[in-house]
Amino acid sequence: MNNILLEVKNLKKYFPITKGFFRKQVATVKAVDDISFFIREGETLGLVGESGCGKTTTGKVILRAYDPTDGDVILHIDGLDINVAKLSSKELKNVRRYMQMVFQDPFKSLNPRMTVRDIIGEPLLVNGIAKGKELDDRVADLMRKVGLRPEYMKRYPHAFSGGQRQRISIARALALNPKLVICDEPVSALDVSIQAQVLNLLKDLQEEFRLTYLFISHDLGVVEHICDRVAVMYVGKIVELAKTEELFEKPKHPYTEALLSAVPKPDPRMKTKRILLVGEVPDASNPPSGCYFHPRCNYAKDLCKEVRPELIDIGNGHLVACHFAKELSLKGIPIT
Amino acid sequence: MAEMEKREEFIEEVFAEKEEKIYVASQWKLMWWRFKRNKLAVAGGIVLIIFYIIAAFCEFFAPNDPYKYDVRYVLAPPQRIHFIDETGFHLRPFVYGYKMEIDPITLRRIYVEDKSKKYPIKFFVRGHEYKLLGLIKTNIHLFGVEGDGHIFLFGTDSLGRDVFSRVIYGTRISTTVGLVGIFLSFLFGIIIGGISGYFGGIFDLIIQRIIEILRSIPTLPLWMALSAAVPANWSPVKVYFSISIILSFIGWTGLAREVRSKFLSLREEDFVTAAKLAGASERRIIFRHLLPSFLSHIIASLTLSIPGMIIGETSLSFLGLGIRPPAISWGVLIQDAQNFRTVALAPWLLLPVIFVILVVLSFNFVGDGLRDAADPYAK
Amino acid sequence: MDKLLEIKDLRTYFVLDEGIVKAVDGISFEVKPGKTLGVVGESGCGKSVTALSILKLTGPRSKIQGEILLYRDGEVIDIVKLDPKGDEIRSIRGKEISMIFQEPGASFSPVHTVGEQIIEAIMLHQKLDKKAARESAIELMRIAGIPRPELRIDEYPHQFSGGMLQRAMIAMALSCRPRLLIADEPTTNLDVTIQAQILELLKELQRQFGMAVMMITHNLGVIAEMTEEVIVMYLGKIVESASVEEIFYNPLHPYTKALLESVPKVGKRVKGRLKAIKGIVPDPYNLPTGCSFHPRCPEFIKGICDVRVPNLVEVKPGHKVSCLLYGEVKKDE
Repeated sequence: MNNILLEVKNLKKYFPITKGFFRKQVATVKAVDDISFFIREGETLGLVGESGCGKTTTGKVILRAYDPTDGDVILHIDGLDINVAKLSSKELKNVRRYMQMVFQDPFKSLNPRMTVRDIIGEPLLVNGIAKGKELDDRVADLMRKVGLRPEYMKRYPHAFSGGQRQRISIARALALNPKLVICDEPVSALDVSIQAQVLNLLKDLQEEFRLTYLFISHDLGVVEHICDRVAVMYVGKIVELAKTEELFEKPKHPYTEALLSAVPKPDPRMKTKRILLVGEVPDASNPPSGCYFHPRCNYAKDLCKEVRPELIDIGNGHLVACHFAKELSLKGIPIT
Repeated sequence: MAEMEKREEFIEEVFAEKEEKIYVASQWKLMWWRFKRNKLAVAGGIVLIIFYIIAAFCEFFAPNDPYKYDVRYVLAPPQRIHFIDETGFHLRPFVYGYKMEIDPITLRRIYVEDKSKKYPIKFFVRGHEYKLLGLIKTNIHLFGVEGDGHIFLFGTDSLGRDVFSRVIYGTRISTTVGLVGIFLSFLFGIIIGGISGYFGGIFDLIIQRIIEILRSIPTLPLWMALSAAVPANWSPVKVYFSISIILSFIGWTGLAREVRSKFLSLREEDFVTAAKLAGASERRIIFRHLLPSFLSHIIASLTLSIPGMIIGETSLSFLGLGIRPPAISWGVLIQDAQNFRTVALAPWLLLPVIFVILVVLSFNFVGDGLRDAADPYAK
Repeated sequence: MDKLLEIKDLRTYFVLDEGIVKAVDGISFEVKPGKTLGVVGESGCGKSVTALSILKLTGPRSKIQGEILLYRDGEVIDIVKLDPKGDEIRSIRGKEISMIFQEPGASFSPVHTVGEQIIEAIMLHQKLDKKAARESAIELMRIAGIPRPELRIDEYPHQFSGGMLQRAMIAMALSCRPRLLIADEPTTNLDVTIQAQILELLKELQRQFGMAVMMITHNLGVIAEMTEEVIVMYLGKIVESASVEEIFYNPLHPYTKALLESVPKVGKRVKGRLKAIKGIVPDPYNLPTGCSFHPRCPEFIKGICDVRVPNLVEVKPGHKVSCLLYGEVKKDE
C-alpha cells in the first residue's frame, strides 16, 4: 500500500451571500461542508456529483485558489507534513509547485494574449527555475511530453483546437513537476473522439511521473475508467466513498444508486428500468433538514428527516453516509 | 522506447503545413487586421492623423498671422483661386487682390477682385515669423502669396483676421486641450478601479460609495463655478487646462467602474487562477494577465470619449466659459459667428463648424472600429 | 412505408468572410411517423445545421440546396423552396415540426413570463381565446412534469432551473401537437439525474402524442436508449445509417467503430489505454481530399481513400455506409 500523499480533514468552504448598501450577510452557501478524505501516492481519486455539489470548489480550496473557511489540507511530502490550509501566502508560494490543476474549459484556462511558450513557461519563469534559452528547451520538452510539436511554441492559443489546448494546459500543470494534479472535468468540454486521447495522455503521464490525481467529473463512464477510488458528493458533502468497482457494483448510498441508474447506457439491448429521482438538487444556501438527500430519496424514513447521517466505514474502506446503508440492498452496474 | 512510440501516434499531423501567419499573431496584430477591415474607421484614422499633424505644425500650415488684424479687409469673403486669366491657362494658381467698394444702396462694404493685382500662390513662401515646435525660428509657410498680397481662403472675420489661419491655429487647442483631462481620467480610472476590483472588500465598498457621490455632482454648474474661481490673471488657456484637469478628478468614475467590473470578472477566469497556482505574484497577474485583457476595451472607450471633450470645449467656449480670446480655439471661432448678422452677411464664419464635425465624426468612427476590434477572441 | 419527412441531397453552405463552410454536404434520409431517429456526431459535423435547415432557420448567410419534403395530408411540401420569413414556413414551424434546443435559456425571452411565451405559441396556431390558451398552457406544463404549473406559469425564465426550463421548452414545443419534434442536444447541459428525467419525459410524451422524434446528440448512451434508427455524421456527410442495433453491434464505418470504442462506458471497464481516434477534427475551410475521414482513419488505404470520394451505399438491407472498404458491393449490383 502506498503512502498517503494528501489528507483532507473536515474541510469547509462557505460563501457569504450579501445584500444591500453595506453588503450585509444574509445567508451562507455551504459549498464544501465538512468533508474528509485522503489520496495515496500514485492513486486517482474520483470526485463525482452534479453541478453545484461543491466538487470544483473542493479542488480549488485544496489548491488554495480559495481560502478555506475551516479544516486542514495536509500534504505529506519528503517526510514533512505541510498543512496547506494554514499556510500564509508567502509560505504558500513554495508549496504551490507540488499541486497543480487542469481546468475544464481549455478556451478559458489559457490566456489568449500569451504565446504557448509563455503559457507553459510561466510557472518556470515566476519560480525562477528557468529563463531565456533554457526556458525554451524546458517548454519544448514539456510540449513533446504531451504530444505537441515544439515548433508550435510561438503560436497563440487561438491556433489550437480544444484537445490541443487541453494538452497545453496539462503541459503547464506539469512544468513544476507536481506531486498532485487536480483535474477538473478535463475532458467534458472536448469532442468525444478527442476525450480518449486526453484520458490516455493523463494515464501515460501518471505512470511516467508517478502523479497523483484528484479527478473531478460528472461523467461516470470516464470516472470508472480512470479512477481507483471514487467519492460521491451531494450538496457539499461526501455521501459515499469506495473503490471504483465496489462503488459501481455495490453502491451503498441511494444517491449513488440513482446516479448510476440515470446514466444512459450505450447499449440498445440494455433496456433496464431506471430509478428516477424526483425534484432537483437543493439550494446549498438552504439545504433540507436531516439527510440532505431525503426529499428525493426513494427509501427515506422519518429518521432521515431529522438526523443527519455521518460518513462511516462499513468495512473495507467503504464509507457511506446513510442511516440504512447496511439494510438496503441497492442495485449497481455489473462491471465486465 | 515503446513509450515514445505510443506518443508518436498523438502528435498531430493536421497542421503539418508551415506556420501560418495568423497562428503566431499577437492580440494587437489581430486587432489591427480586424480594424483594417473597417474602411470607415481607417478613413477616420487618416483624417485624425492629418489633423494632429496640422495641430503640431499649425504655424507652418497657416499662410497668415492669425492675430494680425487689418481694417482694410473686414469681413472679406473667401478669395477664389484662379487658373485662367486674360492670357490663358496657368499651371500655377493665383488670387486677385481685393478692392474695397461701398455699396451705394446698403452702404455696406463690398470686396471686388482687383484684376490688376495678381498674386501667384507659391509653396514654402516666407511670411510671418514663428518658432517651429517652439524650437526652430523660421518664417517659411506651406503655401501663401509673396509681397504685400494676401490670401483669405475662408475669408476674414470682423477684425479683418484670416479665418483659415485661425481655424488652423484653433486645431491645436481644440484637439489637445482635453487630452490631458482624458489621460488623467484614464490613469485615475485604471488605478482606482483596479484597486476596487482586485482587492475588493472594504476598499471596494469605500471607493464605490465615493464614485456614487462624485457621479451625482452636475458638471455644468461646477464648470461655471470653477471658471469663476480660478485666478483672473491666468491666461485663458491655463484657465481651461486647470478646469479640465479638475474635471478629470470627477470624470474618472465611469472608467473606474468599467475597470472594476472587468477586474471582477477576469479575476475569476481560469487562466488567472492558473497563474496564481503557478506562483505568479500579484503584480505579474495584474500587469501580465489582467491589464492586457481589457486595455484594448479601455482604449476604445477612451477614443469614444474624446469627441465629448472636443464638443465640451467648443460648447463651453461658445458660452464664454471655456477658452476666451485672444486664445484661438474652434469654440472661440464659432462664438464669432453667434449672431444673425454674421450668418446672413458672412456665412464663411461658420466654416469652423465643419472642422468640429469632421474631427468628432472621425473620432467616433475610429472609436467604433477599435471597439469592434478590441476583442479579437470573441466568437 | 409512409414517410413524414424526406431529405434528398441536402446541402447547406455558409458563405463567410473566411471562405465557404460546407456545413451539410449532400445528405439524404427519411423520418417515419412516430419513430425516433438519432443523429450522432461531433461538434462541427453538421447535425445541428441539418435540423435548422429543416426549419429554415439557418440565417441569411446560408445557402440551402436539395429537397426537404414534408408529407402532409396527401400533399408534399418542399421546405427548401419556401420563403424563410413567409407564412407557409411559419405554419409548419411549431405546428408540424417543433424544435427544442441545448440551451433552453436562449429560447425564452427574459422579459416575459414563461407562461406568456407558451400562451403566445399556442395562440399562434390555434384558435383559442386567452383564457383557454392559459389553461392549455398549464396543462402542457403539467404534462411536461413541472410541479405546480398554475403558480409557475407566471414566473420568469430566470426563476426556473435548467431542467425546469428544458421542461417548459418541451411544453412550448408540444403546444400544437407537432408530428415531428427535433431535439438538439436536449440534455447535454443537464446533470445526469435531470437528464434521466428529461429522457423519460420525452419517451412518455412520444408514447402519448405519437410524434416522431429526431434526436440530435453526441452522447452514444442517449442514442442507444432513445432511438430506433441512427445516422452517423462526420464533416457534413452521413458516414453510416442503420438501425440502432446494427450501429452498436455491427458497425461498419471505421469512424463509427472508433467512436464506439473510444468512449469509456459505464459497466464495461477497459484496462489500460482507450482506443483513441488519432488527430483532430479538420478545419472546416480546408477539408481533406477524398474521404474526409482518411487522415484519422485506422484503415486508411493510400492512393484510394485520399483520392476517391465514397458514396453512401446500402451494403445490407437497411444498413448504409459511406466507406471505400465497402465499395465492392456497389460494383456487383
